[in-house]
Amino acid sequence: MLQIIKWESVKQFHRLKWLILGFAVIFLVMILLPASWGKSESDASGTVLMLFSVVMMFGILGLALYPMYNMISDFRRQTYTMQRITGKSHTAVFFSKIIMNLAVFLLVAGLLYSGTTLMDRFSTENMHYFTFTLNEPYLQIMLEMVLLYPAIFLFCYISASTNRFFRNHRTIGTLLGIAGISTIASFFHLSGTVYYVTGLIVGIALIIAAGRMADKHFEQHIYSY
Amino acid sequence: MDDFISIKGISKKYGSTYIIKDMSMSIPSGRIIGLLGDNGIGKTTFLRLLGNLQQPDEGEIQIEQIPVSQMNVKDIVYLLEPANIFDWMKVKDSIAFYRDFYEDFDAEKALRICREFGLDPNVRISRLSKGSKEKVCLMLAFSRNAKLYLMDEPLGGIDPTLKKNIKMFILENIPADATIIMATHLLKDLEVLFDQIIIMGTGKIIYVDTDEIRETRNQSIDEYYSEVMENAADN
Repeated sequence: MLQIIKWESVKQFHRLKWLILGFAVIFLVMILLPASWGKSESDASGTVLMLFSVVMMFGILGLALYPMYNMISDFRRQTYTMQRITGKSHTAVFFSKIIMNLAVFLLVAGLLYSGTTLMDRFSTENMHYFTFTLNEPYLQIMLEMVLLYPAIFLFCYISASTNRFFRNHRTIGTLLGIAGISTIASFFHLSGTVYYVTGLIVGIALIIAAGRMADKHFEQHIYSY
Repeated sequence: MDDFISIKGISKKYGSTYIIKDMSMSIPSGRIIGLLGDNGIGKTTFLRLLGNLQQPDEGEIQIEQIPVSQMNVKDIVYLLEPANIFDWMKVKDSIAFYRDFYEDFDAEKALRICREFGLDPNVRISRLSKGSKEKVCLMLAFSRNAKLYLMDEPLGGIDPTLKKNIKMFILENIPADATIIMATHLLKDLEVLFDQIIIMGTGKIIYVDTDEIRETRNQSIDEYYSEVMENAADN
């Protein structure tokens, strides 16, 4: 398992390194800029800060959605074979991806905090650039972004991929699956500890089910990945 | 000699189309076997079935009397295609990857083969030519110590010098009792390699000793293959 986590983390690093470098450059520029920047309406400094804010916003939005993409990212790549012939179970790989999702989530949290703090220097009474506040408890967002939503997405994707009706229309099958699960979830109104425990159990169960399905059926139908 | 691989009535279909139908044969150990046939005839599927990357719809494959479906995929060496290797890896990363996942992988041997092939371990895979990537795939596969090696079109971009010496390279780098099954179209280059050939796509599977073709029929493998395919087309 440690080897899987090791190589999964190396893979994620190579995928995300340029985005992380981009944030580092923006943060460095913001640290070096004088606090008076952006406060004058007569120059372009406000436009530059606004541009930074937009870039950061889209970067963080991409990173926030990344855990879902991360769960299915290997399946359509030819490099899937290199991982598959190691004989490691899909379930183990999926759980290592959940650990990577946690790392990405912490990265997003760090970027949000750093971006908000750095941009705050340039704010005026009338003008706020990049800023972020949480509407839901931190733990709930973490559970949903790291485990629950990626697990639902993965389960629906694998179900669609191994289903005879949807295997050639995986996107449609996946979206229908997500719609179905969302409809079922809407009948339950859980909160607090019950929500967290249920979310954790459902997330883990979906990962295990998806792993078993993938081990048994995925290659049966997909022979040109 | 005991059968190393025993194939009993396997069939595989995609949708309603049979790619392989009711195939049976026994393959002894220590042979290099050419897998021949036109594109799309099921050679890759056959290799995947042997490698436990797919399962037959009917029938069973056994290796040393153990059903392949009960074996771990990693017990069989499956030669990668160049596109299968992560292109962010350096050559030495690919060696580290194999060392981490395969107990039978010999990293020192891998570095020796790198030197023989003129591969720099510090070069990124994405910067290599197709032929050099194929050399990386060969280096990774032949640095393992296994009983079965499966290869799907392994030498398309390899330079002529290596192609000429490939038999020597293979024999030097696999255990004496290992079996290689190699799908290829490069018959003229590689026919000296094969102890036996399997021809697919003629309506029935032809499995024959190459010595018999050369000595009894007095033909080259390439000539024999062409004749078999022409006869199949006529019928």
